[in-house]
Amino acid sequence: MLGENITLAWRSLMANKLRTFLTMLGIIIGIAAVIAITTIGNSTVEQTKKEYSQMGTNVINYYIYEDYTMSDTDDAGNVTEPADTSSQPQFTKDMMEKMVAKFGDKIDCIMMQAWLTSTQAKRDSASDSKTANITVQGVNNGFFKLPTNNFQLTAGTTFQEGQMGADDKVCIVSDKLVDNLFDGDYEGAIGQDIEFEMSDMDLGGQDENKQTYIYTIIGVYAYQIQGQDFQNSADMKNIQTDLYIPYLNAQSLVKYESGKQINYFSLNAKPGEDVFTLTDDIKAYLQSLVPAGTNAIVDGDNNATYIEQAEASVKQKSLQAALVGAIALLVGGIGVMNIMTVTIVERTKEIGTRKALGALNSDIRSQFITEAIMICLIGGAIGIAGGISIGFVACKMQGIAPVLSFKQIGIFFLISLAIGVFFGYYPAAKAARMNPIDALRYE
Amino acid sequence: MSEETVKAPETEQAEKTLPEADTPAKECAEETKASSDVVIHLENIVKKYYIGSENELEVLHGISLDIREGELTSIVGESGSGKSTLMNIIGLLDKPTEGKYSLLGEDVECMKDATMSKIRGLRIGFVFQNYNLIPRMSALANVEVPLLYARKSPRERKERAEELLEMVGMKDRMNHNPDELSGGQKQRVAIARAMANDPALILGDEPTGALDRETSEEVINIFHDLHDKGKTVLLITHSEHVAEETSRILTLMDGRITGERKGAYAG
Repeated sequence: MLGENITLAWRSLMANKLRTFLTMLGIIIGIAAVIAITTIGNSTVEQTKKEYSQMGTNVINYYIYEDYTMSDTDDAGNVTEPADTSSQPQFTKDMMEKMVAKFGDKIDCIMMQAWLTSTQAKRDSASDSKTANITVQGVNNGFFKLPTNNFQLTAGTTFQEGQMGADDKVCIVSDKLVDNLFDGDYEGAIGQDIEFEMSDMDLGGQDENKQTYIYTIIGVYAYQIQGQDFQNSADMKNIQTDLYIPYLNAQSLVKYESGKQINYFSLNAKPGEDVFTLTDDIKAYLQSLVPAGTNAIVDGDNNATYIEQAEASVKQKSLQAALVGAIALLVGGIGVMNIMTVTIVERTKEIGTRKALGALNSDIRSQFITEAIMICLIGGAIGIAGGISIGFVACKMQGIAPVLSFKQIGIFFLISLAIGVFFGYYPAAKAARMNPIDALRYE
Repeated sequence: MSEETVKAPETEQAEKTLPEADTPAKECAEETKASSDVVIHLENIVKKYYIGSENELEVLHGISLDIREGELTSIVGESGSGKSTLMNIIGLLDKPTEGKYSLLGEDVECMKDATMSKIRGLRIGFVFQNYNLIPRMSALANVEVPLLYARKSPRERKERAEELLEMVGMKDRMNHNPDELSGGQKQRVAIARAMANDPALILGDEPTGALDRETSEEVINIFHDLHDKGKTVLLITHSEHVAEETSRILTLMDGRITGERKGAYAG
């Protein structure tokens, strides 16, 4: 019987193609709008997730800073300068050691990083004019282990025992630098010296005069080409890559006081640790170590938090979109109901004939409900396809990888079905209740 | 099989008393199986419209008649005589206000809507004046409709419908839609459709009313064929000419059966 109903419905819909399409349009627009918006939303969330999980969901960042709200205020309530400007809040060596003692078994590595300056490097005492653009950074070995940094060694080693002190002038350079200065001989570059210039001013001091620094290469890492980098050879010549020197060495070079302190570090929690709990526990512990009488505040966050925030924000937007879509679908559903009512009046005689030929009320009812469902399902399918297309195009335009949610497609198919049943039922029931003689006599 | 068509005189209006006026709780057992060859048994059938209102209208004033198996009968009446109303009641499309109707021994008053639908589909074949073929469906599909509601399989439906269309000489045009067929062809399809479930009773409501004389004769001949095959046929018409093509003619006037005679057709 279902097969016959579908055939009948199809015939009837095809007999009034324009009308059928216009009726479907309400459903199509409603579903397409919601699907498009949620496809974009889901794709954005996935993108965010991917970005953050590439950076490692177990990475936790800690900051320490002065709480100005606890600073002195004048009579008018305005914040005045903190009482003691000479000592910025910092994670002291003592604090770090205590933290490692307490939480060491939950921590994979601790990363510390000090950004110095951007400059140009060349081979030490070389006669050629080859140069490479660099950004000098002081890091500890934790930096290389942190998944966020996606660090891969091509040749040589990271900092070894005895190379991490304030006076150790060793560096780890990118393969791009080796390409530019040593013609791509990565193994051969190990042990070579390179030189670059920095002024005191570059390092936070006053003196503008450049000084030459000479460092020995101990390792070469694979530079990760970023999306915005162009890959032609001219760009590769000018590419700016990081040059890593020991953290303590960098601190010794810095000319301003707070640069010699730790006020930011990241750590990677061991796999399986509850990142949220650990974030809070370490934060509370570090806060408890802050010397009494200072206004220092310890703050910590992790990438999982960002993912959650992104998801929550998209979820809210999706909800709003769903609401708009629901209204559109309601209007579409009313359109279906309207057209079904018209159809039934037009086909009164057919209904009468069918009843005379033995159709039960339920036969008539299911025939017209099938027709309403078909309008909605076809409309729903077109809407889903259209919504996905719009979503994909929009994602491509924003440079986001589009994500297809089959669950969502399934849900909207069911919603289409439900609209058909809900809005088709009343007209179909009306048709089923028709008195056969009245229906037969109808002209 | 021709002589038995003459015997039906006991259904005069003699017993016009109203023994069971309007008792709501009638005994609904199948008790009237006594004379098993009676297909239609009407007893004091009254039909009123607008009951209880000022313009209450009594269309049928107590019709009693019996139609036996294998009869070819016509009910003749002017328009307004109540013949359509009577036809609807006989065809289970409407219920009488008063009186007793049993079809094939079953009391109609006790039937539920679904039962009436089933009997319409299985035991009665309708042929309408204006064919009532369903548009946008081929002749074949139209003939299949009653078989569909009889829950026959697609293969059975197709085979049976083709067989019936062949019988009425429409096999070569069975894939045409109604709007591609002439009036006579449409009525042939409609008769084939009426025969679909091999019903006990064929009801024709002005079956030639929309046809010219020549096609009318062709259609009448099909009814004759059906009668010859032993079908019970009841035609309702305003045309004396059509009525003469049956073997028993009942005259309906102002809601009463006013006469009965033998028709010219003897089978």
